[in-house]
Amino acid sequence: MKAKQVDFVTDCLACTKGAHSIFSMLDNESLIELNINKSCTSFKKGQLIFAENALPFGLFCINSGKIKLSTSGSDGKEQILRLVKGGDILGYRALLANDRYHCNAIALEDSAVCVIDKTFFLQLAMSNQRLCMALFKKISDDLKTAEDHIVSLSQKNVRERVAEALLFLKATYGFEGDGQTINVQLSREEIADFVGTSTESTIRLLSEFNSSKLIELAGKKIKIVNYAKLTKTANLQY
Amino acid sequence: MCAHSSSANDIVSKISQKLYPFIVDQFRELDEYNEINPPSNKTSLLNELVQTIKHEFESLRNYETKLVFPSVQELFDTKNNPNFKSTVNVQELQQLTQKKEEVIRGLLKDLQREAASLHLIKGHPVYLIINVFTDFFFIEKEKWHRMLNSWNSGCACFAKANCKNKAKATHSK
Repeated sequence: MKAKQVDFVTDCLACTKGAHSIFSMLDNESLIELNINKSCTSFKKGQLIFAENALPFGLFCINSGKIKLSTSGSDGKEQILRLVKGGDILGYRALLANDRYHCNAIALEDSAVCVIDKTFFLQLAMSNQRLCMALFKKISDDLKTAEDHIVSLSQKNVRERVAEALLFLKATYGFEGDGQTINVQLSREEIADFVGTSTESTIRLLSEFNSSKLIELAGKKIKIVNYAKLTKTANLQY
Repeated sequence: MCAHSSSANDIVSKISQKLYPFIVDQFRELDEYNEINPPSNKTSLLNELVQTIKHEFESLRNYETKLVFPSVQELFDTKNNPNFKSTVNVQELQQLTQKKEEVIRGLLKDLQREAASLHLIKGHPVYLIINVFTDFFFIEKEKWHRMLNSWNSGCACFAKANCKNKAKATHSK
C-alpha cells in the first residue's frame, strides 16, 4: 500500500500567496530571506511537534494539516487549548515572552510544518513594521478568544449552579398538583442568594433555561418541563 | 421526643454550629497565611483547588442550613402530627447533597496530591483543611446519611404513629 503523501509547499513565495498567514504581506525579498532561514519537516498523525516546558528554538509555521495545542488538567485529563491549521503559526507566545512552552503541540493528521529560526524571526519582526502589526493583531485575536473562553467557562459554572438550586428547591418543596411547578415562590433575589451569584445573572440564566425549554416561567412560579435535562445541566459529577 | 428526631437535632446542631464554623475558620486561617506568604506561580493550582473546595463547601453549607436541615428536622419533629403534610423528598435531597460531598471528596484528593508534590510542611494550613474534612466532615456526614437512610428505608420508628423509641437506644426496623 502506498503511503499518503503530505502536501508540502516549501517555497514561502508560493505558500503565503493568498493564505491567511501573517507573512502574506511580506515583499518578495523578505520571503526569499525567510526561505533561507527556515527548515521544513513533516509530522505523522499523533506525533509531538513540541512538548510542554521545552524551550523554543524557532517559530512553527503550519504548511498543511491540523495540530492541537493541549495541556493536562489537575485530574490528568487532556485539555485542548486550541486547534491550528495550515497558514497558522505556532509557539510564538513562548518565543516572544522568552519562556518555555506551556502546552504540547500534537499533529491531529499528517502535517507539514516549517520552522523559522528564532533570531531571524525576531529580527524580521522588529525591522518590518507590517509584520510587527500582523503579529500584534494575531496576539490580540488570540487574547480575545481566550477571554471569551474564560467568560463562557464562568457562565457555565453559574449555569450549573442555577440548575442545581432549582433541583434543591424541587426536592425541598416538591411540585404543585400539576407535577411540574415547584411548590414555592421565591423572588429572583432569593434564588440568587441560594446560587451565590448576582440577581442579574440569575434572571438572565432563568430566562435562558426558559428559552431552551428546561423550565417555564410564570411570574415567580417555575415549572420544570425537562427534569432530565435540568439534572444534566446541574452537572453534579466529579 | 423520638430518638430519631432527637439524634437529627443533635447531628444538625453539631454540623451547623460546630463543624461548619470550624471549617470556615480553617479557610480563614489559610487566607491569613496567604496574606503573609503570597502564593506564587508554583502554587497556583493548589490555590485554585482550595478556592474550588471552599466554594463547593459554602454552596453545600448554604443549601443544608437553609433548606435541608430545617425541612428534615421539621419532618422528623412533626411526623406524628396527622395534619402536617410535608413536601420534602428526603431521598432526593440526600442524593443532591451526597453528590456535592463527592465533588468535595474528589477535589480534596487532588489537593492532597498537589500538596504532596509541592512538599508542603506538615502543619501547613492546607493540610489542616484536608484533615478537618477527612477526620470530621465526612464522619459527621456519614452519621447524617445513616440516619436519613433509616428514614428512607421506612424504619419502624418513623412509621409508628406513637413512636416508643424515646430513649437513646438504637432504633428497630
